Amino acid sequence: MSAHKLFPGLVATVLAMMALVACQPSGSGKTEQAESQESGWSPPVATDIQGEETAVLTPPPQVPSPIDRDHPTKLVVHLEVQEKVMQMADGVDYTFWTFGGTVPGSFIRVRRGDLIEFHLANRADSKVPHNIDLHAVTGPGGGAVSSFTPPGKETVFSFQALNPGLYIYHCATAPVGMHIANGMYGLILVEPEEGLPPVDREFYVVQGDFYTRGGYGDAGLQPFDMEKALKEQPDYVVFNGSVNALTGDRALHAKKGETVRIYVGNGGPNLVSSFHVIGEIFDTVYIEGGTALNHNIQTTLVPAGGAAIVDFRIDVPGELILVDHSIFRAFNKGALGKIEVQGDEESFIYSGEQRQTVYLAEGGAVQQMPEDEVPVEQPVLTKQERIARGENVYKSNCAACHMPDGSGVPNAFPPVAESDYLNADVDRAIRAVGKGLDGEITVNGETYNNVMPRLNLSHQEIANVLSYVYSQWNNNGTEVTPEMVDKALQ
Amino acid sequence: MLAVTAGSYVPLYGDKTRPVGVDAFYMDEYPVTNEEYLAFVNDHPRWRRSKVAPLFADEGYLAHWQADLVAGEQAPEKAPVTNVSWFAAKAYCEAGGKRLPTLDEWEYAARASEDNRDAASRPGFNRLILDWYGKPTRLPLPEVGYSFRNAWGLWDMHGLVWEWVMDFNAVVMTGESRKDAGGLDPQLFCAAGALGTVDPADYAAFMRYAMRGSVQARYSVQNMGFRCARDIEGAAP
Amino acid sequence: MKKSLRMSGLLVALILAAAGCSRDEADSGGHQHHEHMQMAASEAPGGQSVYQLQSLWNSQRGETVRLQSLTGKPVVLAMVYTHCDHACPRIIGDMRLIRQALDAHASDVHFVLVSIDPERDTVERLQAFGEETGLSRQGWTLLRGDEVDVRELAAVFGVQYRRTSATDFAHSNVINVLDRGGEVIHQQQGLGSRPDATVRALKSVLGE
Repeated sequence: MSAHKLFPGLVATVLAMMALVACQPSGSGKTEQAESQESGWSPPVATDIQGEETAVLTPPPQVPSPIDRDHPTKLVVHLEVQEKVMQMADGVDYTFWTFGGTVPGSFIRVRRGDLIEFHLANRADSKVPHNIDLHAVTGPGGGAVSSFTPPGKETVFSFQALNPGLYIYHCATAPVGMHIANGMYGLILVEPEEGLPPVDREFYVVQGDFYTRGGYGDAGLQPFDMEKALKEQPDYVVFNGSVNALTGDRALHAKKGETVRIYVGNGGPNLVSSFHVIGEIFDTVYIEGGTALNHNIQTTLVPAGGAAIVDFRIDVPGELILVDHSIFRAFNKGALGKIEVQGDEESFIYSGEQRQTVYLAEGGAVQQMPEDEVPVEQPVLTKQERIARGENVYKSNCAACHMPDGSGVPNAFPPVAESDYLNADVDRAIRAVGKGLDGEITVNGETYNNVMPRLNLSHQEIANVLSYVYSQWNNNGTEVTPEMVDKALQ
Repeated sequence: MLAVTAGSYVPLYGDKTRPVGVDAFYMDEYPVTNEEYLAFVNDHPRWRRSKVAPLFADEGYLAHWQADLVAGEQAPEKAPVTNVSWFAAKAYCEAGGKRLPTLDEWEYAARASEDNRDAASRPGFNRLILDWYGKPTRLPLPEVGYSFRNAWGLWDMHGLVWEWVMDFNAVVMTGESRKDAGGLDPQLFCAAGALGTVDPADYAAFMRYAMRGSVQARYSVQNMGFRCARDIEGAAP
Repeated sequence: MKKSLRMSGLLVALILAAAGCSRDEADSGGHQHHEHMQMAASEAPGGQSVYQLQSLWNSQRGETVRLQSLTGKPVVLAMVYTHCDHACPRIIGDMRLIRQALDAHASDVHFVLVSIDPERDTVERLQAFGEETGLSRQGWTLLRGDEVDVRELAAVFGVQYRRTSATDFAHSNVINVLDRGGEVIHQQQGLGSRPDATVRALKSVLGE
């Protein structure tokens, strides 16, 4: 191989990294590229490596500070594999296999040209051997060959970060699919020499799909389900290793006017992510984590075993929702996250921030078409019972737009509290719910011109929800029966 | 020891059309315990923790024992001995006129469920094994006779500890399993083409092969023990 | 270029350390009842020494020896089989390259091949192979032993091998360098590697 003659040092380095077996100095892609005179590209094998540092790694969603060095260095990275039980969802546990005790694993930040001395430790109480394939590595197996580590051992290998970009790392020990499905992935950022443009906040988010013996939400310690994994039918699709990893108390925070950068990865093992932030447009996307930039992007694909960097400026306060826009994954399998944005309202740009609660209101339960529910629906005996049932229907179908207190949203969704529109005509109200509304209406003196979709509710449910609404908020207390609904919707 | 009768099986890295024959052999009913191993190091000082040559065992050798000749709380008498190197396991068996089982013998004997000598292709069987892999190691390890007694009468072939075999290093693996499993790089091996695995879904077997491929003979691993085997004299082929 | 070569040397050292091949001296196993078979063995092998192995081997010259008989000179050793028609000839070729690079010092180093196929590699076969290839004339030692002992020696070197058919083996391609006392001080991995690092390791033992 002529690669020998041109780059003996590099080839020797590559060989040295092949700890166990190697017949052929299989020149890496980069080496071969370097041979081509036409490309004019030469590997930036740094000769000016200065000093030595130990890399600071961070758990998700944190990101290490940008690198302020103006030279490459020898960077020592210590990463420990831990097999540990953690929460997948409320009441649901899973034995995750992790790089550094978290899913995704610790974020690694290096500078192009750095010589990285990688220490991969596998805790003594691990069940199985592990290794690491860093997509940022140019060399056999991305390091996997040199880092095969049984429980209680540590392996060391070195590589030079030749290409800037955001890269996935993952375990590649047999069976690879299972190691990845158990959470063994993370991101390594190779900053270009000049660094990335500064932003106010940086976050670390990685999507993954999980396969459990039980279905979504089934409680207890759930084992990995190989059959579901082979069929690519996950029970969970989540950001950062669990449902609610980025919601509630653990939501991300930012302020109006700030610039935000999310390092997005997708560990897979199977699904490709349609990464989207509800209520934002990405000003800049580093496509697939590389150097090509795209602007004004709504949704960016993040392949399994791939990444993307998205930058956006937040102009409006409220909640921004991170989703995989393959949307059942978001609302039924957990792929939801939240950025809470503080600051004064900016009605000039956006006035209806409540709208996003629509999505959160759905919850994770499997939704069935009303037809399926009819056979199990129990008849209602009393008005009180009807109102009680109607309250549930209201909360899950109406409150998102008409608000939990019935007050509606100015200029968008009319109030159902003290509503002259409802109180004046029960049949009209029934038709609005049962058939939908389109066009201009006037409620309490305000004009609304919007669409109310036809709701997939049974006549029983329509009766219940309207009885509830009429019983609340100074409405006139009408009891609506299924018979009335039957008649009005004929 | 219990007799395992002759038969054949298709190993993970094998050829479906050419099952590997296994002669009849004897195998220990249980993994070797701390108590038994203690008796061995009593009689063979060169295998005590403080005496063992670094060529034959790493610094983790019997690390969870209290002292050279005291197993202690972390190593209950009846629990399987772990943190023993391959050399040590081999020496133990040889001292008793036995030997380590071959990889083929071990895999053949381990295909048995409680009531069936060849249950390896049954999905429920692999699932049971995978469940063990999916749970973190509990320390100290429980006593032998813990998981289940298989159709050969052997206890704990799955679900307690990994076990050394004589030719553990017959697993030609780089740790880059995508290469190893698929044979993507035939240059890695002299006999290219023999590498396709029999059943890619046999994750449980993958794990055992990966474990064997990841260790060196001097390594001492916290959840790796062993049991011994012996030829059956004059056994029918 | 020089810098990156040095760097690779460092890497080799790191990998070796990780693989447990470091040279840390430690007390011996205390079983020094070795016999004098062929060449005189000077002293008890150290705790890291391969010469602690007590296994007996047959050479192509019909001798029965312990590995300890190699004591005194550095050793270049690989595990191969003579019926191999792809990788093993290349390993032997790589060893010849090392030998050439040693020039006048070639005779100060033992070159040893150990068969992983003792069934077919009988003493007669090894003798014929040694003559056909000219290795015997150059003083190489070709060894065969019991299957269990071959397994053990492979375990010491971290060599993995497996019979893949009636005629073939899959195996790691490793050339081991032992110092005068039998400790592994260097391993050349893969086929067709430049012998530089291996030759450097040998010369450091030879005191150049």
